[in-house]
Amino acid sequence: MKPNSKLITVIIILLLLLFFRDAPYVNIFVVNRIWIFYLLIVLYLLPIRSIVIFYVAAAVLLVLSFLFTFLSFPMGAEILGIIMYMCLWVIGIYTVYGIFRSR
Amino acid sequence: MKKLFHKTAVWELLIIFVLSLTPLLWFRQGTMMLGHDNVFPIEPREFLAGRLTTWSPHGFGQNQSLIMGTIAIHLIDALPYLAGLSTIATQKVVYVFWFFMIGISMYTLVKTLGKSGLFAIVATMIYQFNFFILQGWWIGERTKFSAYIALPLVLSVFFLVYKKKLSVLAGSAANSLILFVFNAGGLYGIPLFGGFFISLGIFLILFTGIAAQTSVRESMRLVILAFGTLLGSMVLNAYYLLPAVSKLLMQYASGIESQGGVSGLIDWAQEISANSSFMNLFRLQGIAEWYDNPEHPYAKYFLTNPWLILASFVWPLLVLLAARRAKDKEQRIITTYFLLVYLVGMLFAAGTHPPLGFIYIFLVKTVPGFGIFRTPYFKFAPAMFLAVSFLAASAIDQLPKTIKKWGFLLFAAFILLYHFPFFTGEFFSWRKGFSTRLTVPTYVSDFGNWLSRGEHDDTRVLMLPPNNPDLRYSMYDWGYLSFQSIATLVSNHPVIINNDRINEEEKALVLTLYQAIADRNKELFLDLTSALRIGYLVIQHDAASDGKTDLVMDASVYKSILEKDLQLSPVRSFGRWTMYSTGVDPLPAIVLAPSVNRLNSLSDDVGKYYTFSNNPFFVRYDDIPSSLPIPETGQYIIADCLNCKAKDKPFIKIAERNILPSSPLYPFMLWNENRRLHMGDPKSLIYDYLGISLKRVGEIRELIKENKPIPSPALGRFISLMESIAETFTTLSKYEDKIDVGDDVQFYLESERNVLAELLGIYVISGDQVNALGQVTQAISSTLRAIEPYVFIPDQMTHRLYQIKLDHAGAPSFYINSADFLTLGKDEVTISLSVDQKTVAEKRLRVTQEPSWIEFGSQQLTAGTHYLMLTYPEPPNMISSFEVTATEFSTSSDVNCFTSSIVNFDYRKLYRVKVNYTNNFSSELFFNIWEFAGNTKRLKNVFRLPPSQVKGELVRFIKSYADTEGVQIGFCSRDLSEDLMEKNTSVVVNELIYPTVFLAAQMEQPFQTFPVQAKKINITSYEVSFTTTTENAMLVFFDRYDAGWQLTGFEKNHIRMNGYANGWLIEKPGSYNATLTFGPQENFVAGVRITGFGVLIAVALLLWERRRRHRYETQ
Repeated sequence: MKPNSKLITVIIILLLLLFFRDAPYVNIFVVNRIWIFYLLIVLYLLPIRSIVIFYVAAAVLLVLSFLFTFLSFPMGAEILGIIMYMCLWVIGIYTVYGIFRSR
Repeated sequence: MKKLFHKTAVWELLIIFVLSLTPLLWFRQGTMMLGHDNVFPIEPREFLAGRLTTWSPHGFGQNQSLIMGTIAIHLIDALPYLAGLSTIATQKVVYVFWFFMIGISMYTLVKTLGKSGLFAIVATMIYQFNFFILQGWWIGERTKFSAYIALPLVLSVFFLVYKKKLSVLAGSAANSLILFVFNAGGLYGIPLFGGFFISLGIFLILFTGIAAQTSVRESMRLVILAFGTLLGSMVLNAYYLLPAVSKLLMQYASGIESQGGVSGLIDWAQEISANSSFMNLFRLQGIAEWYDNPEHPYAKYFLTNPWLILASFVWPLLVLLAARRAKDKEQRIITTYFLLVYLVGMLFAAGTHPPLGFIYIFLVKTVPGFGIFRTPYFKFAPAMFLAVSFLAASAIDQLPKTIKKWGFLLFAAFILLYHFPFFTGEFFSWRKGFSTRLTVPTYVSDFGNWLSRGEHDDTRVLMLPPNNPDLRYSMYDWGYLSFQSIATLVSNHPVIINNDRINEEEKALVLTLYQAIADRNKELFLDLTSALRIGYLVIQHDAASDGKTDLVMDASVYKSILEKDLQLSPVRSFGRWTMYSTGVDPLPAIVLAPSVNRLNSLSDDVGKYYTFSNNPFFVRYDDIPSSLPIPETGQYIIADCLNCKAKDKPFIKIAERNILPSSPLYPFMLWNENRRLHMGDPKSLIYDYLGISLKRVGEIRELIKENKPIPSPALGRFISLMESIAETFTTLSKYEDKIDVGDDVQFYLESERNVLAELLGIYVISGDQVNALGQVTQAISSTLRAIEPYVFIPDQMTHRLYQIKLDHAGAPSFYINSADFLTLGKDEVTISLSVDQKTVAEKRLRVTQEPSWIEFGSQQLTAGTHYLMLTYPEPPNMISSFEVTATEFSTSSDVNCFTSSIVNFDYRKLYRVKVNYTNNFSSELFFNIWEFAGNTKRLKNVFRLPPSQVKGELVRFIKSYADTEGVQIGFCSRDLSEDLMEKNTSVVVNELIYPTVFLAAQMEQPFQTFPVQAKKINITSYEVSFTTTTENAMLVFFDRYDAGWQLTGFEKNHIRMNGYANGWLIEKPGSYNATLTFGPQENFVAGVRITGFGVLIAVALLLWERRRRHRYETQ
């Protein structure tokens, strides 16, 4: 897919999410799971060439979440923790894949 | 394994042992750990002996078939004691043992994976010193430790088999032996294996997958090992599994129900998971109590101290470092395995916490049995801690060789420093005045010794004062608070107190007895103590109370009652505990009753039986199988009051609606509403409909205010909704439900009609809207008419409606208790009783001059359901005149308060306050209720009386605790004056009367008993011989009814007697010799044999494997 069409896809998804997030009643189903879509969008946009980026991302998120916790902003730290958790899953799945492929 | 005994290994083990002495720092002079959920026996030998049978004599007797698995735990508790140590020294040894075993288990795993000594020690330290496990040490949670220890040990065996250092057979045997010793307390401990299941599940998936790449046979080895472990551990735990099997399925169903169903489980899990966010779990925090309990002994440091916050981020950092790709393939596999355990463990430990909480909720809702993991953090966190222990040590292990040693040493120091509460030992105090580290008074043991020595008869002991009936736990001023009666920790002799171990009928009987004592009712006291086989009473002067109950909780009051009113003398003293003998011979433990009464009552009312009859033997109608000709002399019915609920009405407020019928989202909203309806339960469905009707009225109001037409479909929906309420109402099967729900439906619909009526003339003057509003109010009126026959219109202050069910026609006599009407005073009053709307009797009487039971004639009635109405005058107004009073509202401003007090207030009574007012003078008029307790005055309720030109009414019920000495009520407002008080307010306070209506369908004969020769073989077996000259006599055994009790030759004649005891119908006269046994004990004995055999086989297999390996290595 060309970069411009990639961007258009993301914008469309974001707009739809905005609509669903604020639409009464629909938001009950969407709000709690909207992060999954955002995360997928971020992963979709990232120019991932190596798994190392997830280590780096997790480390950066860890530092940021410490700052948030230190500044008594647990909500921010919690959100970063979720992303960090997902990064670790990517690392874990990637490693399992590597183990089976190498054998 | 050889490496374990290597010289360096000895040093490593010595270090772990020294660290395991940490619990010794927690013991203060003369203290032991006890209370809350810490059930550590004060007399371990007695306690263990009590666990070796499936029947326990505690209370009224208890079937403990489901908790036989705790033998392993309590055997460990008792061993040092049996070796001659004191209780406190025993506990010290036991605590060190569990601490050490936690370390050894992790050490074994790490060494199995071929790691260095320093690696093993550091990993072990994390596994031993963490806040998850410290939460367990607070209550000495040996069941948790047991599962926690089993996890790395079983995993070690799996790794050994995977590496082919152990055969599958020997591995299965080893795992079975591990799970035999560390069984987490048996059946109820299975949920504690949550982390274990995750770790092993991931192991099987990952390593069978890897092994399958070599050959299918290789992967099957691990699968067979898993099955072998399951089968072997079942055989080795047969001693508890066999007795439990018969009850297992039923227990799950009732267990779920007792937790409030699946939604109750999820609610509880949400409480536990409130702070278990991934970030908190990364930092090895997230225990709910850290955030909920401001008095938590150490959480505040970790939540606020910047250095400790910084230190908590070391854990995720180390995991991240460990997750880096290792060069060595095997190392990479193992690290990946622990990373997966960490991530999955975290997912489950987070429970219902967003964002992935929906997975846990989905599993609870859909996977049968998953509900047992109802406290997700505590069940699944072990997997996470196991993984972190390995990964953190692994991260340090990746340091360059030159600094690795120092890295390990520094990290070890960090672990100990970070977990400093382990060394301060200040984590036992959990609530002001209560701790799980206590100095147990010596008289508690003295009392236990006296009970166990058997210097007295076999009668039960009743403890006074009672526990708070709502809370049901024991509290002492020396810091003990627990559901576990302290007496059960010192002796196996039956001691009665109203805790959570007694069932509903037993509770009703025991509370009736406590009330009889508090009321100084000697006759009832003697009848009940005899029927419940209570020979002794113990007043505990050290009992503590929070005062929030209407039962007398003051020990000194009981002392006065026993000595002065019941004229009992102390027979023995144990420190601050004083023992009294009831002075009467209770009924024998096993007795033959030639005749028994029948009682038809709710289980809550069984205690009332003894207020009427002298025959201690009765059978509840619900307990009589139709096939058995139960003998009877008297038939009694305690009428079930249908309008005795004192329910405060809510304030109805119609919320503003944003989505109106014209909105495109409206259909979706309707769909969502329908989705949430409780279709299977008509009662809940009606309340759902009422909720929806409030929304509909809100929508109609918005439309009218905006001057929009009410669309026909919307109108149709409202009319249809009203019809649905009326239709569903007809499907309610219970009359009492119709009375109850009908009252609420009327209240809600009338409120809605009033809301709509207010719109008329203001927003709606003419046209279609008037027509639409007319249809709406007509639909409401039509529904109200449909329910009208079931709405109890007469005032419950003067009318009580009862329901009785007769299984055959007869002419019962009616009785009411004069004591119930004492509030009516000394004047002559008229009381009438009608049955099915026909007056049976109308009497003019002075209640103070009447006998305790007043006969109200008799009436021929057909079999089936009948309704009784008792009518009596309104009790007098208990309020004095209102006077200007200074209150907390009037001190600093110009607010005026006018108050009055309830005359002759009695905390045991329920009062109804009825306030009529016309608030056309103030936007801030408040009605307040205060209570007096000792020197304190506490505000109980505040109600804002909204301004309106029309008259308003407020009705509230006042129920007080035993420490309440008086109640004050009053109005407060800036604009209130004496004149307005007089003209615009009127208050009536009456005592609510709850009369008992007793029906005697057939009067009893004087009761008698025949003796039974009973020889007690042991607690689960008796030999009995008896002779009966009458047909259909009842052999009564005064232990709690349990289907497991069997009388040889009369197995099918077993019924429940007296609401709680065992009875067998002996149909024909004659002399009999029979054996009375508790069946599950035979299962237990059979299980013990299977377990013994299994242990021998498992040990033999391991020895054979060792010999085989040795031979193979020497060759």
